[in-house]
Parts: sequence; structure tokens; C-alpha cells
Amino acid sequence: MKVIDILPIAYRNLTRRKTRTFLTSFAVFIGIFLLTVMISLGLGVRTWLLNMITGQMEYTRITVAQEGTMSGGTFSSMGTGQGSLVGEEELNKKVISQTVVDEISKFDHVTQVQPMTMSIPKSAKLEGQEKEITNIMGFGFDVLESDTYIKGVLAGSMHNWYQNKNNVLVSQHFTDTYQVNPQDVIGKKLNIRFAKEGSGGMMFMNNSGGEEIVIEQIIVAVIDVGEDQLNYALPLEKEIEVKVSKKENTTKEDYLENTGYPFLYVNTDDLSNTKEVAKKIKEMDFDAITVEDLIGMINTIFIVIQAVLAIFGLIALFVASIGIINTMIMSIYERTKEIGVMKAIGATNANIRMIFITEAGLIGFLGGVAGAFFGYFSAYGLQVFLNIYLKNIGESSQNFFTFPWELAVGSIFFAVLIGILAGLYPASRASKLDPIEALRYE
Amino acid sequence: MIKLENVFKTYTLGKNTINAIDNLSMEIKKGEFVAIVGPSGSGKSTLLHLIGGLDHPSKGNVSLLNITLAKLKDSKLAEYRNKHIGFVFQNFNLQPILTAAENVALPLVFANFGSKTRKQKALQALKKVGLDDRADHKPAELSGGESQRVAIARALVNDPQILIADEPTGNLDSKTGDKIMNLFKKLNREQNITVIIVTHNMEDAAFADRQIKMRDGVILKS
Ligand SMILES: Nc1ncnc2c1ncn2[C@@H]1O[C@H](COP(=O)(O)OP(=O)(O)O)[C@@H](O)[C@H]1O
Ligand SMILES: [Mg+2]
Repeated sequence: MKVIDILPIAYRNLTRRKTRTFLTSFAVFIGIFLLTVMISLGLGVRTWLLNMITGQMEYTRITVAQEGTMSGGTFSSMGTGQGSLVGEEELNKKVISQTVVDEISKFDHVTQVQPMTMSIPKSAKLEGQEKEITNIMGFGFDVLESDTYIKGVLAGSMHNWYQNKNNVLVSQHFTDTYQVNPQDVIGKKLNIRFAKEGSGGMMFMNNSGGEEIVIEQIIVAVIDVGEDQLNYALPLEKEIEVKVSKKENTTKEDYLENTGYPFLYVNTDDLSNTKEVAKKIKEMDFDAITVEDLIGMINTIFIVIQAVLAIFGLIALFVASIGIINTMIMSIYERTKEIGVMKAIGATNANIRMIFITEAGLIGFLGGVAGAFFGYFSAYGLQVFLNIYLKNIGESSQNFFTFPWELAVGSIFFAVLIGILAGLYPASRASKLDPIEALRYE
Repeated sequence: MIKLENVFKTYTLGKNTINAIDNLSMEIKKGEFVAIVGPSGSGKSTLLHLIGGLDHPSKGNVSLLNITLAKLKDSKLAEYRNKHIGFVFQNFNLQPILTAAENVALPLVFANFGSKTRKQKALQALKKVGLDDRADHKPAELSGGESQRVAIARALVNDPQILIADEPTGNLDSKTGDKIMNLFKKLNREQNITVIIVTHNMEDAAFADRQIKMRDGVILKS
């Protein structure tokens, strides 16, 4: 006897009790639906996060910060530099001084060490515009056009930009705020005003009364920094100069030794060496995160999230399988005589077992197909709704939707498996019925 | 062809033991038409089940076609019933979800025939009982006599050597019952199938070549 021969019979037996079959497979449907939506969302958000992070970083790059600033979940703030801001104020932690930078530069496999600074000025003003913009943030770095940090050059040229201390890069956020075309700001002057630090004053407090440092820079390029919050970038040397002059009684050398850089990009020659270099930096009591670490962290977090969510689906499926067992046992009571007849006309115990397992598997299949189908559309619907919401709050749309065919096929197989497993016990009971007793049964 | 030697079938109910079949020996030849008669509870059904390989004797030996049934495993016994025995019941016992042709073809599913062969053989069997025009009807759309003929077609579909029927006319009026008995007679004469029926009805018993009278698990007269 082949399964294909009994499938149509199994299907018709299930349609004998439509409501019962519907309710039983509905439980499977709920379980598979939950499972597929959860897994789809988990996969989608993870892929989106990984793309966002790996798209912004070079694989051979290690991000170094003061110890404790990038641990746990705070790595997300690293891109905006807020994590390192805190680090700058910490006193007991080892600072990333120029000495440290020079030391790391001498490590094997290190091709380049790129210190980064970050500052929040009081305001900035573009030549020819009335408005002074506030709530902005700038980086100091010497990155090249080819760096993954730069998503694209929208206007002007970055060629050797940092070799002239008076140059400045602005981001698309800057031109968006002023509502000007990127082309129109090239060659224009940008005035940036910084508050001078008082004794004990916080450097980013918007204290309008205090002393100020004003610098005037020439915009040489407009860069696309993607999701990053950066508004402008100064050559590292200029940034350090500003930071030094904000403090009183400090020389550049003192500053670089005592305060140092909030973080560094350390580039290595090959992906296979990144781990080793990162380990050496960690041994110097700094945080060192590689892209691999980030991917690993994200994967670990999502495995945990998905496992928790999947447990809900599994609980639903466990309940569903109890429903299947119940339905099958009822069905066997109703069809006891039929089982006796089938045995009389030549069905073996294995045949009877197979017939009922097929029915149970079919209940799973029906619920699984419906669950995967609605799971797909729900995950897609969530994506659509989320993007409508993002659009309404003025954010760009995101692609969280992932529903690989393996998920659909796998979940249907899983549903069938649940049905088969749930059908094993009732089917074995049916197969062991004594044909004489079964025939006598009314 | 069918041989029972000192067969017992004993049921134990609490402290009482009942010999449904009590030291019974008999023989049925190939091509015979036998009617088993006797009062209710005399062991007729039990005897049929033993002959049909549905039940095992408590003691003694049942052999068919020179095969000792007790020596067969359950799966072999099922195959044996499938190939050599056709069962007909009082209540027809057709599957309500299947059409007449599908009901008739069901034994062939267990015999691993392909769907094309199954269809062909089922139609042939339905033709033998004169119901090929009802092939696509569900049991609910058939009369009692038609249902019993479909059941006979199902018993015939695998070309068995033995037809076993337990009160096949019990649920039919006497005219329809006569038609069914005539069908058994025809199958017995034209195809040389050994037919064994159990009946209460003396008119039905008259169709048989031989009557076996039973009481309390023993044969009174044969
Ligand atoms: N499963 C059983 N348990 C106990 N006694 C049984 C069982 N099956 C049959 N019997 C008894 O065996 C005897 C013969 O039964 P049966 O063969 O059905 O008789 P008949 O078919 O002639 O009416 C009866 O007394 C019946 O009560
Ligand atoms: Mg009886």
C-alpha cells in the first residue's frame, strides 16, 4: 500500500467531519503562523541590522575605544560617537593617547591607525544664510574618499581634503537642514562656534553667556554618511586644535597624552589577522570590536530572541498535537467497525497504522499550508504598515521583510511532522484492534 | 480444501468458560456451497471467523488450501484473507465516503495494485453482480440489495477461492434476499467458488448443497 493511494481516502475521511477537522488543523495553523511570522521577522530585522553595520564598516577594521564604552548593547551608539563622549569624561580608565596610537601602529598586520574625535559645537552658520543651525555634531578624522564610512560624495571633491586645516566636509544632513543643493555649498565658508570650557563646565552645554571659539572653514565636499548623524567633519588636526584651545592651560601634547582620542579605527592587512590584533589591543585594556564581533553579537542576540519567540509557536503546536491526538482517537472510536472490515478484507496492522498516520499528517499539512500562507502575508503586511508609519514620521523606509522559501517549505514539513507524531499513538491503537471485536462494534 | 480438526474456541468470562466452538472437526470441499444454520449463540459466526482467518482457535487446527493458519504471522494472515477469502457481512459494511467502485477496489489497495488495474478489476467485479451502472454511486444512494451486491463485488474483486457470508440476507426483505442467494448460487456454479454462508432462514439454506446444523459449538448434523 502506498501513501499516494490512501491520500484521497484520508482527505475524504477528514471532510466527513468538516468542523472537527477545521478546528483541529486551526490549532496547527495558529502554531505555524506564529512560528513563521516570528522567524520571518527575526531573520528580517537581523539581516537589516547586519547590512546596516557591515555596510558601514570595513571587514578588516577594528574599532577601539576606552574600556567599557562598547561593551554590552552600547555598540549601537558607537556610530554616533555618544558612547565615546562618556569615555572622554571618565578619569580612571586608560586613555587612548598618542603614545597608544603610535604603539598600535607598530603592531604586525596593522596597516593604518585612524584616530577619531567628536565634538558638539554651539552652532554653525553657512555663508550667505541668515540661520544659525544648532544641535549638530562633527567628527574630526583624516579619512579618504574610499573609506566605507563615506557612502558617496554628493558634490565637490575629497581629494587630499584633510591636508588643508581650513577645509571642512559637510554631510547630506547639513544641506538638508539648510535646504540647499549640495553643489551650491562647495567653496562656501562655514563658521562653527564652540563654547569654551569653564572650570568644571560640561563642554557641550549650550551656555550662551560663556566665551567662544569661532572657526571659519571652506566647504570642499558634501558627503553621504547614510544613517550616521554626522553634520560636518574637520581634519583631525583642526579638531584637536579646537579641543586644545577650548581648555585652559593645555598644550596639544598634554591634551593628546591626558585626554587622548575617544576612539580609533585600526585597519589590518587581512581579515584573518583582525582577531589577533583585536586581542592584543584588548590586552592593553581597551575595547576592541571587529565586524566579526558585531555580527557574532547580533547573531547571538537574535538567536535568543528567536528562540524565545519560537517557544510560543512550539507551545501552540504542542497544544495542537494534543488536539490531533484527541481528534484521531475520536475518529477511531467512530470508525472501529470500518477498521474491522478493512482488516477482514486484507488490511495489515501496518496498513491501518499508515491510514491513520496519513490522516493525522494531513491535518498537520492543512494547518501548515494555511499557517505558512498567512504567515507570509502577515510578515509582508507588517512591513508595509511599518513603512507607512516610518514615512509618516519622516523616516526612510526599511526592508525588514524576509521570507525565504525554505521557511515556507520547512514550516509545512514541520506541521506534517507534528501531525504524524501526534498520529503515532492513535494509529498504533487502531492497528492493534481485534478485527472480531471491531466488527461486532456498533 | 478447508479442514478443521478438534477445534476449540474458548471464552473466559470471570469464572465461567464458554466453548463457543467445542471440539469441532469438519471438512469442506472445493466448489461446495455450504449453509451453516443453528440458533443464535450456537457458534456460527465464530466458526466463520476461524475459517476466514480472522480469529485463532484456542486449541486444534484449522487449515485452508493445505496451509495451517496458526502458523501464519498476522501480516501473512491479512495477505491470506486478501487473496483467498471474500467476506460478506450482514450490514454490508461499505465505506460511506467511497463510491461503489472505490469500495470494491479497497482490497486491491492493500494488495498493492496500481490505480488503473484497481479501476478495471473493480468494474469487472461490479459487472459480475450486475451493478456496473452504479459504479460512481455512494452507498447512501444505493438500496439494501444493491449495497449487498456491491459488498459481494468487493469480496470477489481479488478472485478469491472462498466466499464467506455471515447472514447476508439478514437485513434484506425476502425477495431481495432471494436475489442475493441466487447470485451466490450463480457464482458457485459458474466460477466454482466455494461459498459458505451462515443463515437463520431455511429458504436461504435450501440454496446450499449441504447444510451444517450447529448447537452450542458442536455440529449436530451435516
Ligand atoms: N468476545 C466474546 N467474549 C465472550 N463470549 C463470546 C465472545 N464472542 C462470542 N462469544 C460467545 O460465543 C458463543 C457463540 O457466539 P457466535 O459465534 O457469535 O454465535 P452465532 O453467530 O451463532 O450467534 C456465544 O455464546 C457468545 O456469547
Ligand atoms: Mg452470528
